[in-house]
Amino acid sequence: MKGLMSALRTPKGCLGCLGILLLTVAVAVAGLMLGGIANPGYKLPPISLKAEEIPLPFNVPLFGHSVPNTLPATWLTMLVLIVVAFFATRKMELVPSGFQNAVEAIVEMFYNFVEGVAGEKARHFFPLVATFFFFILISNWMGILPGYGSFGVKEHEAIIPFFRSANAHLSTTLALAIVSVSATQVFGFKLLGLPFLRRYFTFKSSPRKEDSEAGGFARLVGKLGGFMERIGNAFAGILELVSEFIKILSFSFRLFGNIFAGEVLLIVVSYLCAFLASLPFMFLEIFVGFVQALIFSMLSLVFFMIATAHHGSGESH
Amino acid sequence: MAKKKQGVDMKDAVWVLAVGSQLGLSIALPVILGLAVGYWIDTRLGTLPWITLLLTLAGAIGGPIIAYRWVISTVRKRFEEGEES
Repeated sequence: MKGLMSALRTPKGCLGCLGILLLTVAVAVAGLMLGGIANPGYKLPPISLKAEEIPLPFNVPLFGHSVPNTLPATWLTMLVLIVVAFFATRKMELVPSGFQNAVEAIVEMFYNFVEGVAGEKARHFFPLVATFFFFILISNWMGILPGYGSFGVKEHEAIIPFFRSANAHLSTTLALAIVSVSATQVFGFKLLGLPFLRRYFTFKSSPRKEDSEAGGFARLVGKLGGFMERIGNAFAGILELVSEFIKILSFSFRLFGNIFAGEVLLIVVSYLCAFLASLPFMFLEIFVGFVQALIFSMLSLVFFMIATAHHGSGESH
Repeated sequence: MAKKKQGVDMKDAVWVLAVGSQLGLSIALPVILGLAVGYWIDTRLGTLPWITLLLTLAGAIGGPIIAYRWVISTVRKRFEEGEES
């Protein structure tokens, strides 16, 4: 701020700032003139809820003659992560410097975050939770790069982009959700063993000492109470099973909904005003992408912890 | 610069955000799931609208129960950790 103020005091700086201001206004006005507001004849580009299929000249096993355009985006995200990991760990030094230092700082920051929530179990959960976080974060942020959604092949008067943000496809988010919920079961078995199954199949009632001492009607009432409790516990187990499916749905819909909504928002704003107006929304998308990655990884972590908690996950008490 | 603000623990903020967003969805999704599964069964058996109605109602009742149980277990786990540390 001080630099700007001192620059404004000199005629050269003053002219420069005025020039930047005028240029911004000119770009905004040009954007409005070229956008859909000033030209009612413009059509909003088609927005597809499904990922568009890129036609291929050859046959791909499982996919046929086309692949969804989120698939190249997923591969690109994987490539970025693999390349970063490769270069960060190629020449490992005890006292890190440069790129290794930067990557270690980020990973350590996230490890401290996971450790703060999960405590001692962090070392079990960290690899998967961090993978979720970095994969979702990088793919969300890459989705707003220029070129995503604009370069593509022309088919039937419409452009089919080569790339579409990976999480703007329900299949990607569903796959992530299935991995997360399956990992919950795996961690539960790994850390608790067979007692983990009590979470879903509980038919026992709590022991009643007074039952053996009481007689007649009181005993009958006690037995009836025990029977009702067993039914209640069995019902709770079924609810627990259903809630696992709800978890898959909520994980996938939340991520898909947020990222797809962001894509639609950017398309509509860019259509209404060609330049500049979409800039604030891009910042919003950067924020949303980060928050969604955090929410997905944090929720996975919370579910892992509840699944691996002792005394029957504390729910049937 | 004004006086430094009381810092909010990032970990707690994300925890509340995550639990809150899951809570809303775990109430809403069972209704939709009940509706979808019910409609699918009904169109197969030709019993429209009975199973759809039944499963939608079951979802509407089960959703809040699932949400309640989940929040109780999550919050309890969180407080246990707080006491341990």
